[in-house]
Amino acid sequence: MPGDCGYDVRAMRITDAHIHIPREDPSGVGNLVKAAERNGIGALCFSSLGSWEYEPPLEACVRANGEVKWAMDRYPGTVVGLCYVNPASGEAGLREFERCIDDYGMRGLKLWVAVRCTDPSVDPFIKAAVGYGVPVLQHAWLKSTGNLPHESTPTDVAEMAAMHPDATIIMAHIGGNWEVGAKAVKDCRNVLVDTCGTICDAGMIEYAVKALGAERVVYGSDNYDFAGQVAKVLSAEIADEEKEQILSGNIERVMGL
Amino acid sequence: MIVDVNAFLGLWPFRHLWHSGIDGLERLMGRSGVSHALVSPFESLFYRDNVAANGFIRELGGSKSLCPIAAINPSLPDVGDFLSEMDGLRAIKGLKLHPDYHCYDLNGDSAKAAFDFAEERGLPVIIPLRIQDERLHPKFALVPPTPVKALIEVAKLYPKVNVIACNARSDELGDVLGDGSPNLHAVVSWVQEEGFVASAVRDHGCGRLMWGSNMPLQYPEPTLEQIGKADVGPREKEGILAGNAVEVFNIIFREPDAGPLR
Repeated sequence: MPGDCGYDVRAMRITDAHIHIPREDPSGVGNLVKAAERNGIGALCFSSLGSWEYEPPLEACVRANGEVKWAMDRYPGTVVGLCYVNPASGEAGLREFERCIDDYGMRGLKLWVAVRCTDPSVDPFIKAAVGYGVPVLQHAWLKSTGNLPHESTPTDVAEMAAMHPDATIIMAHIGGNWEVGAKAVKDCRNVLVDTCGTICDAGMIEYAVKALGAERVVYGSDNYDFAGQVAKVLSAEIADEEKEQILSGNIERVMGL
Repeated sequence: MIVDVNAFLGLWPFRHLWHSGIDGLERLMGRSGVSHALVSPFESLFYRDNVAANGFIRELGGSKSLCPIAAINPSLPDVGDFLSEMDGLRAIKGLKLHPDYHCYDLNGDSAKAAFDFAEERGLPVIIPLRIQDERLHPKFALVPPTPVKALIEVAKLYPKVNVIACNARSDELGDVLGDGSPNLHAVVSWVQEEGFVASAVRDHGCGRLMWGSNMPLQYPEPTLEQIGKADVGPREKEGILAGNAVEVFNIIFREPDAGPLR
């Protein structure tokens, strides 16, 4: 039956590891929280990319983080905050990250496409994340149509992970090109992958689980339909225990929720 | 009853498929409750012979759950012969066109032959705007998607032909639904942004929405769940999941022991 994937999601508290404050409508968080509840999702790890400028100035990131803080205050216990910075903002950006963790109570760092994750400017941020014991959600895509100038690839993430073996890194979208992405980070034990994005290719979750182990895969929606994104995991031909790990256990472990 | 208007048979050359062929499709349909699927061959994307590419049609002769859709390349010289041959195949429920893979303009002369044929026979025309996310194509075989504008224009040229847009992103689906032409239909075959189905039904009604899985490249469950859990009424869901397709494709269902679909 549509609307019933044959698995009782009420038995667990699903956590969405990758979701953003709606662009141009931060108050839309309320609708997302309601829709998440309808789909058995009890916690949402929000970051804000502000106006989605590729190389935002510090002030834009400060504003974006303020939106997340607003959502955390409005929906305590449901909204988990991730700090977003442009590593090119240097020392001031680092202070912003520290402020988000210390003052706002955020639980992770979100890095997007401002600089490649192998750029030296990223190092202090990863070291700070390690110091705080929080994960880094790193965007990655390998696009055959061409990446953005500073957009990280799965290979970049593997390199970053090797440089920072104590860091916990979540590579978004299984690197987009998921066969290449999963293989690129296979030997990086400190890298997990998230399942989000538009792509619902048959076999994608199975492939990631086989390459990395279910304990290194986490569910995320990236603002795409919750029911569809959860079903992506539930319809995978893996064990029920592995589905639970992906939908709930792994991100709770990594985030300390 | 659930009717899938966009499924494929055959092998995909660029990656391993967990389920493929008639058995594979029926397995996916069985586990997700899909009763009927309109299927076309992957081969049609790559072959330079329409007859050979559509050889699967005769294999489906006895199927109770799979309805053949002839996928044609109207830019090939054998298209006339193929369409003549198809005239004798009453089981065909529609045509599928891939202007992205076959590199022609939907509003050009090549497409005209297909649309003229569809108009004369009362057949709907399915057009997947893409087969997979274009960012995932192998670099040696980049295939830009079919422009949704061209699809809307050709639907206006042939108001008696039902034109069905598959594998569209949210903005493209919005363009198709927003156009308002009664013969232009949009298929939910991609996981869209949260709340998309409910807002599409609210803004445009559900009469021109259908569901298509893109099996076996995708599993059917994610998009089925997207519709099943959408904040719309049961009648609207029934229309999207089956009723609209039954009407547009003129599908006559028979009891399980009464022979193949017509």
